[in-house]
Amino acid sequence: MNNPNRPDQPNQPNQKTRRDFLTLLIQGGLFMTFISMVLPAVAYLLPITRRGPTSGLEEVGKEEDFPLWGHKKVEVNGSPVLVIRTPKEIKAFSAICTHLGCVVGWDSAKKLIACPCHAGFFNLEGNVVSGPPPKPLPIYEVVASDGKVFVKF
Amino acid sequence: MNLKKTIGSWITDRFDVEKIREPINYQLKKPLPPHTGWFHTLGSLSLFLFISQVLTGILLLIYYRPTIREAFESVQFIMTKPYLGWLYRQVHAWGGQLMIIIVFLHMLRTFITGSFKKPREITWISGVILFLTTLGFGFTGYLLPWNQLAYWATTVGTEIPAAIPWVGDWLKTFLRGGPNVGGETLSRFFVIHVIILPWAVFFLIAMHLFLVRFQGIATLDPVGEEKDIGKKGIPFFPHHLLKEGVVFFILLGVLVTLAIVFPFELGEKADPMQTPHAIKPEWYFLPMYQVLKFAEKMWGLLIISLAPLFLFLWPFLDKSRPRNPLKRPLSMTFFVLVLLSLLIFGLMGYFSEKNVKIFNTDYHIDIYGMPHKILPNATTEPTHEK
Amino acid sequence: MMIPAARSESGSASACVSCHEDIWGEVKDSIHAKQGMSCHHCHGGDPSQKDSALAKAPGTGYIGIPDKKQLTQTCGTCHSDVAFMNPYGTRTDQLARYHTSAHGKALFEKDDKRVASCSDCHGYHDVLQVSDPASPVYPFNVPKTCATCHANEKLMSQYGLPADIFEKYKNSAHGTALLEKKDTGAAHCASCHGSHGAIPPGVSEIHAACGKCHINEQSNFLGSVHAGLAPDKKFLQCAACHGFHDIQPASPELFSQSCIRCHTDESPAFLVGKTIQGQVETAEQTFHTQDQNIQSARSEGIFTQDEEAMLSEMKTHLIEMTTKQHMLKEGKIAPLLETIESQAKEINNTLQAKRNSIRWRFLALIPLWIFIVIMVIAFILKYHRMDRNE
Repeated sequence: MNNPNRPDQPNQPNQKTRRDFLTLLIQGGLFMTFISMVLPAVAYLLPITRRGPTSGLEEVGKEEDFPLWGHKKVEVNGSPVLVIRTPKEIKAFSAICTHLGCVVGWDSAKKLIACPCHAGFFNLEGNVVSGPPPKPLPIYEVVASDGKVFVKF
Repeated sequence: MNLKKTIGSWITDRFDVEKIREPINYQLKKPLPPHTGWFHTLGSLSLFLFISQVLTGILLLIYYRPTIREAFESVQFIMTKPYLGWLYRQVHAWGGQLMIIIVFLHMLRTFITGSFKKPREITWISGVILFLTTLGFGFTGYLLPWNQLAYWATTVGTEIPAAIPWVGDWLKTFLRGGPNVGGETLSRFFVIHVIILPWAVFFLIAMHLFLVRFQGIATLDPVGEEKDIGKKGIPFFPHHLLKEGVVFFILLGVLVTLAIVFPFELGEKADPMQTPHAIKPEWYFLPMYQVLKFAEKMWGLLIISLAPLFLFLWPFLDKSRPRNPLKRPLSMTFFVLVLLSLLIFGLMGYFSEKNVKIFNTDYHIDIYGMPHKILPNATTEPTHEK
Repeated sequence: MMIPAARSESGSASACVSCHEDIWGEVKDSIHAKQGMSCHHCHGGDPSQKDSALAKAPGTGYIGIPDKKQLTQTCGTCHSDVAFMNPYGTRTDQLARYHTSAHGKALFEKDDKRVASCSDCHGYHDVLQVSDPASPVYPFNVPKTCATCHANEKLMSQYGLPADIFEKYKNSAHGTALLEKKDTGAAHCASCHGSHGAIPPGVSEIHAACGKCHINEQSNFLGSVHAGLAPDKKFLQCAACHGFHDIQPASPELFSQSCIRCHTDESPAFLVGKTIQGQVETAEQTFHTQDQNIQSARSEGIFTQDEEAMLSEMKTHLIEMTTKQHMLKEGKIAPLLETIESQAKEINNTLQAKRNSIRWRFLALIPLWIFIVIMVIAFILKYHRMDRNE
């Protein structure tokens, strides 16, 4: 802004301090405006704890997290998914029971997917083995690559 | 202070600063005509908004993903997860709306003060192109959140050029990147919105500004009788800049306030299987949309493409010398008529296919913008009767 | 009878049809006709004789219209023959079961001809496969079929049986599911009473009948204090609270309505019931409150995906609770209720935080505008000051 060394009218010292205050205010205000724009933008860029949207693949863990018959409930694209390691492959099922929408789990004794609410059982094809569920569980595609397990959605 | 001096001498050692300082000072101190007032800040406001759009746009790009699978989700993500992400999206959305208003007002001001007249025809033409690119920004940016409204407005919008004879269908397919609005359309619009238009606008603005500075701000004197401004002028720096500072801060406040008080809802994700009732384009396309309804498609297209043509050619059609609006009654009448028709068609477009209550009577406004009384027992929409 | 030959013989080749063409019209679309069975397989006689007297002559095995007892034997010749029925994949114990049923006992022990036998439910000439939706014993049609006798007041009064069962069933949870929502999985008469062995389940077997479908409820019930009650105590197990033919969708209200039938309203048992009722009702209430909360937040433009995910977990726990309550142990319900309540609190908190942050946005406008006004004033002051200096 103004050159601070610029000679002002010497007989108005009062005015000078006021003007300097004004200049300071404007300079400070502009600086604050700048800072208050930059800092939030930096905060916006900071890595976010929860991962951003992904390209139809969600990493659900490493392969060693899934020993034989190992299983894990994960959230994929906002809905619960049950991932199970069978002797042949790793499989992923929608964990929402087709009966009343309870969240299903893995029954390791029966080697079946079990719904805790009304004893609905599904096999590893997602088909209903017994109980009230009217439809099979939807199956998600699983991709294992580089030791990591991904679920496609 | 010492550091400042060192840096200063480091630069003067390498560049002939004195030589550059001269023209810069001249440009900065160059007096503006005495009638330069608040309305003359509209141009810089447009520039502020453009810069704001670029900055918020860059921030949005960090998390935005231009695929039909993720576009909606990523905008939702921006609005929920990252710090102040919602604000950047709202400021960007509102900034786009304000930019169209302010660029339009800037154009009005130029028209009213006769500034487009000789020797500033090229400045005017570059300004018209800038206005059209601003509309292009609005049209392409609207689709990017991939929500229902955007999807269907774009479907309707890209249908318009199909009416052009011979090349229409090809043009529609070219715009959409396929027979329907889909992933390819999103990619295309994305590229236009974030690469092509910003750079085009950047160079256009550079040219526009250069011309403005080079030729100086127009006075109200008639063409050929311009007097020297002399001592009466207002220096650009710091005087006029302070005014711009005032409007800048007010604009900033308005932008943030709009973003907080009237946020744009994201709505539902686009669903090609479900057409919502009464799809309409954004408000700034409403007059055009309404004209198209009346005329046979091709004629309507002709009419609406006359508008930009007129804008381009205006400085060559109106070669009268006076600039003062009071001395240009014909131009001003024409101007008021155009504004009124824009307003009327816009309002008709806005209220079409809606039910409104006027003086305690319910009316159904049909697709052409004509009101029909709703009979109390009528179960179906009233038939056409005039 | 020459059973194995039946499959290849065509009914239309039978001489019976030349006189009884009208009856053949009824028979020809039946499952039996399609499998090549003909008149004489049930009625006897000689189908190769053109003369009606010769065809029905003694020695031809002609029996005419079989009576009820004969009928069961006639059907049983094939349907009880394991080797014969094997290719069709149908069971062969129908006749054996029929002998154990209330119908069969009345017919064979008391020679009561009013009871139902095979043809009363399956039809005779036009017998269809059970899987055919037009069959009178297809799930949707079973209640109507049983009602032909069991809704007949005159007939039922002779046995001292109620005749309003069909009406009751029609409006029950099962009845509406089967008859209105066309859910073939819903329980009908035969699901509890059996079909060929139709008999009211004994008091101590009620849980087994209901448990065919309500597996978790049954196993939880068997863990309750009521499970061990001896049958002579006249405790009706599931039916004690839920009723039988007119079973309505259950609600926690049942605790108030049913316990009192056996327990006084001051007894500890009654209080346990009341406590569990309170727990379940609290859980339901909590769930609905949060459901509403999320819906209204959504209408305010707040993103609620995370909360909805939590709500679906809450729902799982709530449904789990409704099966667990059959143990009648408040201690088993309490942890579930605790989880539900803590999840509700979390939903509430996160939504509140989201609402607060929106309120803060509005409040932030105040300092923002104060700042802007100060800056604008400063700019204008500066402008005027410079104006004066010029």
